[in-house]
Amino acid sequence: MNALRLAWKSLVRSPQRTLLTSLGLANAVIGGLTFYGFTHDTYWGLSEAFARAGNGHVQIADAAWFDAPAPEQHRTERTKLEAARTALAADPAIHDRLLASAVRRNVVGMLVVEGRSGIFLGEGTEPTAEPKLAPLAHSVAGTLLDAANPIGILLGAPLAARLGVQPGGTVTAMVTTDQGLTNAMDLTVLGTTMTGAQELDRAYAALPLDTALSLVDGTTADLLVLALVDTADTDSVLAATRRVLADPAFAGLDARPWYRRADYYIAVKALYDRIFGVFQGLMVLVTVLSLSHALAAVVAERRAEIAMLRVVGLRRRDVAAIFLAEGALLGVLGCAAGAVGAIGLSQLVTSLGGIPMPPPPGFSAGYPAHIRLDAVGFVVVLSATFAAAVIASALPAWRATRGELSRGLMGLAVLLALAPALISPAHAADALENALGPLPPADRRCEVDVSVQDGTATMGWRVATQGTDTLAISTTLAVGHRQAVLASAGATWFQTETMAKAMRVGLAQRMMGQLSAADVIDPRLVAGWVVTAAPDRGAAGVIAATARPGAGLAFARAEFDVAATGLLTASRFYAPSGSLLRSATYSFSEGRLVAVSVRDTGHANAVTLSLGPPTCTSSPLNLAPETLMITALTLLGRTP
Amino acid sequence: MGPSGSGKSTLLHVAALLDPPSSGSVWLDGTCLSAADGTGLDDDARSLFRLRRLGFVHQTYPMVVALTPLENVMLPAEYAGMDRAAARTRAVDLLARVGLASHANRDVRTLSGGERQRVAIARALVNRPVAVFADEPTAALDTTTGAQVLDLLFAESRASGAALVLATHDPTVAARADHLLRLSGGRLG
Repeated sequence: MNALRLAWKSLVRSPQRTLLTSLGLANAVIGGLTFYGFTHDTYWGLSEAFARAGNGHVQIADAAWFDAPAPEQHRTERTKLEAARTALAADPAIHDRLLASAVRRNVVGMLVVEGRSGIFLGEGTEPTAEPKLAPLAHSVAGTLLDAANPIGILLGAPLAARLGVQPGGTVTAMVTTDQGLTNAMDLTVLGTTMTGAQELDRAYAALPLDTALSLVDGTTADLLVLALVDTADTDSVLAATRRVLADPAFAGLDARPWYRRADYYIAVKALYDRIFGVFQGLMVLVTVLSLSHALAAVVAERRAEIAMLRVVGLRRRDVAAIFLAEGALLGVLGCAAGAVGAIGLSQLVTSLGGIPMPPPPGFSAGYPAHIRLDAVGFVVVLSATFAAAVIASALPAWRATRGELSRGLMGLAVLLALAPALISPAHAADALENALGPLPPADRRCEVDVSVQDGTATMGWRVATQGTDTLAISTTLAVGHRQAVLASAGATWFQTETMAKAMRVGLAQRMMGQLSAADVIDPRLVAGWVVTAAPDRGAAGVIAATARPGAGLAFARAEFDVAATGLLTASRFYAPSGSLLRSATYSFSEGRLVAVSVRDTGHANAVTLSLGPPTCTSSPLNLAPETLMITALTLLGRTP
Repeated sequence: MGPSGSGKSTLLHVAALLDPPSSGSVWLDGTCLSAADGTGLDDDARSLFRLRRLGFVHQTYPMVVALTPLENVMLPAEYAGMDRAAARTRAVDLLARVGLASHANRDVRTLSGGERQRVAIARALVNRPVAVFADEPTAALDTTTGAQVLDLLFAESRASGAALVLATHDPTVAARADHLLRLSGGRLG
C-alpha cells in the first residue's frame, strides 16, 4: 500500500474536511489567476495601445537614434529606410506577418493662426498606411490624414481649440529646416483627433510625410515602423528584421521591438509585475499557513493512528510520505477546482463586457478590463499553489514522525478532571489531610475550559465535575473526531466520535501522556492516597502521601507543597523505586487556579494547562458510560 | 506480570524496539538491536525489524480508520514488500482465523472493541513475526470478550510459531503463560 493510496483514502474518509481544504486552495488559485489575468490584460491593452497607435511593433532607425538625447542628429536618408522596407517586405519570414509599414519624420515647430500660436509636435507619415498602422485613431471633427490632400494637417483637439481653428481652416506651420533656416507653409486643417494622451494632444499634429519633408526642406526621416498582423509575432519578425538589416546596404540601422520603446508599458509592467509577485508570495504564505494549520490538526487527531503505523514498522519517512501525499493530493484537487473556477470567472467577465475601468493616469478614456488567462499564468499560479500545499504539509508530516512511540500510542490526549479544588483550591490541603474532603454535591455541576499545551501543540477541553465524577470533552478537535473522557465510579471511560461505544480504561494500567495529568490535578484521586505527614492547618509545608493499595494510581508516593493559605503550590510523584517520575507547579490568581505546569522525568517539554473561570449550575448531567459521547456533546451545547 | 508502575509496559516497549533502553541492550539471535549507548540498529533499521519480524498488540487497538479491517491487516504486509495479491490472501486467511471473515470490508468504526482487537491480532501476525508483544491486550475489554481475545492470541501465536510476550497485572492471564516473569519496582523478580 503506497502513501498516495493511503493518503487518498484518508481524504475520502473525511469528505467535509477535504472539501473545505480544497476550496481554500481553490480560492488561492482563483485569486492568483484572476490577478494574473487582470495584469496580463492590462499588459495586452497597453501593448496594443502602443503598437496600434501608429508606433508599430518593430521600429527601424539608425542605431544611435534610439537612445540619443538629440535623435534629430541621427536621422536616416528616407531612401535608405524605403530600401530597407522593400527588402523586409520581400523576406518570407516577414511578408505574411506584416500588416503595414511607414516611414516617419518628426517635425517640431509653431502653428500660427491669425495672431494665435502654439507649439506643435508633428508626425510626418504616410497617409495610405495609417488606417492599418493606427486602426484605433479616430477624428473628433473632420477627417484623418488623406493622401488626396497632401497639404493637409491633422491636429490634436486641444491644440485646434487653442488655435481656434476648425476643419477646413488654414494654419501656418513655421519650422526650422534641416539647413537651419526658417520656413513656413500654409496647411489645411483636415480634422482634429484625440490620441488618448492628454498632454500629447495639446501639441499633437500629423501631416503627410512628403509635406513634412517639404516643410523642413529635408531628405532624412526618423524611422521606419512595421505593424504586424499579430503582436505575438514581434520577436520572430524582429529576428528576421535584424537578419535582413545585416546586409551592408543597411549598415548602421537597428531594429527595436515595441516593448523596448513603450515607456509607459515598461513602467506599468514593472510595477504590476512587482505587485503580482508580492501578491502571489502573500498568497503562497497564506496558503502555507492555513493548510499547515489544517494538516497539523489532522496530525493531532490521528496521533494514535500515526503511532500505530510507526509501531507496526513504518519508518519515519514512510509516515511523513503519507502526509506529504495528502498535501499533494489536496493541492491537485484545489488547483483543479481553482482552475475551473478561474476559467468560469474569466468567461463570466467577458460575457458581461469586461469590468469598466477608469482612465489610467494621463489618459482621457477608460477601458473594459478582462481576465486574460494563458498557459504561463496557469503554470505560475498552479505550480505555486501546489508547491505551497506540499510545503504546508511538510511541517505536519515532520511533526507526525517526531513523537515518542509509546507516548503517542498511549497518549490519548486526555485531561481527566479538574476537581473541586479548582473551584475551591483551598480545599486541596484539607482534602489531602482528610484523605477525602467534601466534594460538590452530585446534583450540582461545575464546568471549566482548559487549554493544554504540549510543546507546540495545543488542545482545548471542556471539563465538568459533578460529585465524584468528571467528564471532559475536547473542544479543538474536528467535529467527528472529538474525544470524551468520563471518570466515574473508580473507572475511566474513553470514547471518540468514531467509536460506537465508550471504551473502559482501567486505572490500574499505567497510562502515559496527558492522561496521567489527572493524577496531578485531580485531588479527588486523593481518595487513593494515604496521607503520612502534613503540616498543621494554616501552616505552609509538605503533605506526604503514599498510594493506597488497589487504588490503581500510577505512582507509589507523592508530595504536595501547600502554602499557609492552603493553596497547592507544587507536587512531585514518585515510582516505587523512589525515582521522581513527575513534578507539577500550580499558579493561582485571586484564589483561583489558573495554570498547572506538569513535567515528566525524561521528557523535554512541560505540559501546561491553562484554566478558565469555573461556572457552576444546579442542572446535573447524566454521567453514564453508555451515553458518554451524547452527554459530552451536550456539554458543548450541541446535540449529537 | 507485576503491579501498576512496576515497569511492565516500559520493558515491553524496550524489548519491542519501540523505545530505546536507558540502560542495557536488546539482543535477538546474537544481534544487538538496541542499546543505551547508541549501538545497535538505527531508527530505520529498527522500524524494518519491527515490520518484518515483530508484532505488537496494544490495549487501545488503534486502527487506520480510513481503511477496512482487511486493508488494516494488509498494510504491514505491503509495506514489508509482499505483493498486493499475496498480502490480500494472507490477510483474508488471518481474518478468517480470528473469526472476522464477514467483517473484512466493513468500516472499522463500526467494529466493537473485541472485534478491533482481533483485527489487531491478525495485523500483528500478518508478516509471520518471530515474536508478538502484547501490552495488557484485554484491558479495555469486558471479561468474556477479553477471554476470547486471549484464547485467540495464544492460539494464533502458537500456530504462527511466534513467541508471545504478554504484559499483564492480571494473575488469571499470567497463569496461561509458559514462562512467567515478575516485575517489581522496575526489577525482574
